[in-house]
Amino acid sequence: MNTQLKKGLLDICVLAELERKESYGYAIIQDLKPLIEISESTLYPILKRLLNKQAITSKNQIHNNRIRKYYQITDIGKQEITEFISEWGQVEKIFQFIKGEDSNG
Amino acid sequence: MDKTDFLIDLQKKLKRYGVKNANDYLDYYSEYLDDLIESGLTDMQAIDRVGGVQKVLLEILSDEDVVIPETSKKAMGNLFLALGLPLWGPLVAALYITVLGLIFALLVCALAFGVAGVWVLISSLVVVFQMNVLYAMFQLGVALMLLGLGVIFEQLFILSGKGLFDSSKYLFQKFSPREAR
Repeated sequence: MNTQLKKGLLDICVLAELERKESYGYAIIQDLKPLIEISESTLYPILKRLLNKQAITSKNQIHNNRIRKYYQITDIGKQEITEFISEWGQVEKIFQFIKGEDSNG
Repeated sequence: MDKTDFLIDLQKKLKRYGVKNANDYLDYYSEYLDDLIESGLTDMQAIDRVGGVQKVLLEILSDEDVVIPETSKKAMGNLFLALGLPLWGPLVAALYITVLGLIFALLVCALAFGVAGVWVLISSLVVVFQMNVLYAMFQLGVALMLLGLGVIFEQLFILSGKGLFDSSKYLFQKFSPREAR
């Protein structure tokens, strides 16, 4: 997939994953892998970015005598997903334009 | 290399690059490696999966959230130093040569007084036989004074030489590029 396109989609994919359930780094990658190519080094900046804009929160939990960081989506994150979905009509028009199918004609 | 070695190595490298929020990255990769190991991989396989220390380091350094506050200041400082070289270079060189000259002068003084002292000391033995004890005592006193001055200048030479060597070493270490390892 095109890198720029993928970059835009990855944030939303992570948010959508967290909307389904709270999760942690390894699990997020495992769940998203069949859908979109994502590595651990790619995920970390995404999580940081989403945390910075308060689209997600994190909390530490003890797992097998070690700390694991779990991420949860916030209302801001849910709003981002809604906005992304609402923009889909426009994306579809652009897609058809690129394919050469004129929606007006 | 096991997980601990990987994290220590990564920590050292992040420190070398002055990454301030290194612990955030170390915590993240530590947790991720633990999860990979828990899923059935060995330490080595888990490290291979994340790509090894060099790859992870590159990823971190290219992260937009990485905090390396001193880098830009250092780079700017180095740029000014490089641009100002024609101005400060000759001044520093002149100062360095002057100090070297003074240290060399101390060495020459130490040698001169030392040799003169020994010479007068030996000649005082000749004087005691050819003239009288009074002259010999006087010459012996002068010899001891010359030798004393020789020792003082020798000590000054050693101290200033060591001082120059230490300050040159410090400056070299401060301004030379970081070691590769």
